[in-house]
Amino acid sequence: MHNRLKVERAERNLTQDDLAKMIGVSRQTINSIEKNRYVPSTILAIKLSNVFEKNVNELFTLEADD
Amino acid sequence: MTYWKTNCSNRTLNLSDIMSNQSARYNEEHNKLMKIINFRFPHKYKKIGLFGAIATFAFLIIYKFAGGDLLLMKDVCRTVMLAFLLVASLSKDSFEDEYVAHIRAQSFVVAFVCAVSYSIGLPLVALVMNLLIVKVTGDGSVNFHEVSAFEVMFMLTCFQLLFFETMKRFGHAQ
Repeated sequence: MHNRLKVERAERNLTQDDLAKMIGVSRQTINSIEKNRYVPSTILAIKLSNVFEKNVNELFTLEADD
Repeated sequence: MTYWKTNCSNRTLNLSDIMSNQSARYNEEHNKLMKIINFRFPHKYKKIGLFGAIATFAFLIIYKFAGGDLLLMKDVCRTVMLAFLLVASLSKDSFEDEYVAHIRAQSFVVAFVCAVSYSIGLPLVALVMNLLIVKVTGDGSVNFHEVSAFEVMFMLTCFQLLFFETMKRFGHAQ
């Protein structure tokens, strides 16, 4: 699964730590999501979509092998 | 006809009542089970568990070198060490979120596979080595090394703690 978290974060000038604090997770969680090492739960995906004011589909897109 | 209709609707009502009661009971049981599964000690217990296990291990070594050979003492120390390791394994991280819960679940799976592989692999390796030694020296007999429950449990808890910390480090890596 591909995600636009890093791009969206950069556009808003947010650090991983800032974003982590906003949605109540650790910086490691944000880092792992950005590196595609961890697929977030629906709850976390919705929290991220609320922060970036975008649909979950815009933040996360499926790849051919998903 | 009216009697039949009333009877039928009563039966339907009873059936839906039974189903909703059953569903509520299942939900209650599920919630109780999840409470047990998700139980974790506070974070400070991780240090207590690790220090306790190390201290017990150190005591066991000192006891052995001091010439103590009481089997009961060895068994008690092993059990205490396992209890400490279990406490460390079941305690919360400094910051507990879904990623930590995910890597903890993964570390339990990996530790389980490793412990089972160990209990299968070690006796086989020991058997092969034993066979080779007997063949070379020409004396002795071939024995099958049996892995004790303590060995398996010790490996399981140690593997879990090691894999958990290792996987947590991957989250830090940029």
